[in-house]
Amino acid sequence: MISKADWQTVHDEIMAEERRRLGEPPTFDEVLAYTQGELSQEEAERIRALLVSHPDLARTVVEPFSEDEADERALVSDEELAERWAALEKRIDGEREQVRRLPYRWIGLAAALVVVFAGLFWQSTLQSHRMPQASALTGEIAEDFRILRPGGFRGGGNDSTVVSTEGDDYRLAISIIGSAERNDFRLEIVDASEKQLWRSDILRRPPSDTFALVVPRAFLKPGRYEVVLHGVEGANHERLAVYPVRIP
Amino acid sequence: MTDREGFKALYAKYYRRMVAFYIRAFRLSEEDAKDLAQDAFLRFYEALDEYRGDAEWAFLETVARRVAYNSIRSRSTAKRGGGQDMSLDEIPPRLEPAVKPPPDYADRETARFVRKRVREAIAELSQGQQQSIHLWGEGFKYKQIASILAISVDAVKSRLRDAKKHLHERLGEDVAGLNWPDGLPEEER
Repeated sequence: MISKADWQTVHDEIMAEERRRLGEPPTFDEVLAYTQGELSQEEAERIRALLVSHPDLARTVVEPFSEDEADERALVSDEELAERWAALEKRIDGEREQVRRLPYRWIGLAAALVVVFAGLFWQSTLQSHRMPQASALTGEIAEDFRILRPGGFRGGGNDSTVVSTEGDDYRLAISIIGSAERNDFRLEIVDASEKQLWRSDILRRPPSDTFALVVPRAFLKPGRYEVVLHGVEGANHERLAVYPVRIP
Repeated sequence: MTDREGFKALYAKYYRRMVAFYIRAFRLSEEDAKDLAQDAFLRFYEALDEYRGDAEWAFLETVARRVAYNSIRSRSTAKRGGGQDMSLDEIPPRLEPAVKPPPDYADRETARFVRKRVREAIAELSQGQQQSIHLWGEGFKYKQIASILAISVDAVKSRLRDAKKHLHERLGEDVAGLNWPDGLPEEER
């Protein structure tokens, strides 16, 4: 019998594959031109396929926004509005100040870059000694492990897991999803620009279907990252799931 | 009134609406919606020279959409849509075992076989049928699917009807009790 979970898994897998195949989501201008029928047939088909594979964006095409003043007022108090305005003013003034000072600051900037690169070199030297370690998780997940949630799945949303700022390592638990048929996997850590920072050796499917990933704190600066689970079959690697992580 | 004063008045008038817009149209969390609304107003401020002073919300909504799309694109690999940060501290204590009992080999093989059949059956559908069935699977209604695909509602119904027929033929009785998401497309929800 085909269960709802089977359908959902296949649906999610196909949608994820389409997103990878088609590339970046459409721009606002592309979607606008598509909805107004201004694109060539070929371009329209491309945008149509992208919208299907990005249902969150497709939803913005079909759900008109209706105003509801009472509802809006409940979202943001007068005090918060004032605080937000003050924060925005700071950003505006900060950007202006930055632009104004830029021509006079290039020497300082160059010096700062030297310091940054020296720092990066020093940090990379340190990191070369301590790299992330992936292994099979056996038994119960220890209390100090964070269970990562996959992004891009219905019900799971695209939530980033915010890791704890305590301890020397980030200790993460990654459950295998969306692949009952594979036995070999590889984990990868990429930054927000999708630059690969680290990847594991081939990992065999553990009995718990869960991997433990221990990442030295010095290895990742504050920011957004993704732990990517790949299925491995011979020379073929297939991206199976992405687990967004944010380091505060 | 200076530019800054005029901008502040627009901010006070429309900030809340923009937050609501992001929550409803882009399904962002409240916090993400508030942050993105800040970004959108900053972009609006930078584009004040282009603003002629009329159709305030229409102009702001366009800026808001552009900022949201850019945000989604910059975050997306499989990424999609605005994200919602959630601290694990907010997650209640485990309500279920952290590690589910491992499926045994037979279960895994059965699941693999079933999913392979489903994939093959879907792959045999036309591109239009696949697009319709995927949007249906995401919870869109006929009229919405028609709007997204830029086709008529009748065409959507026809595609879904044909897709359903094909899936029944390929998957047989197995599909009879299917609940995806509320039964195979049959009637308008």
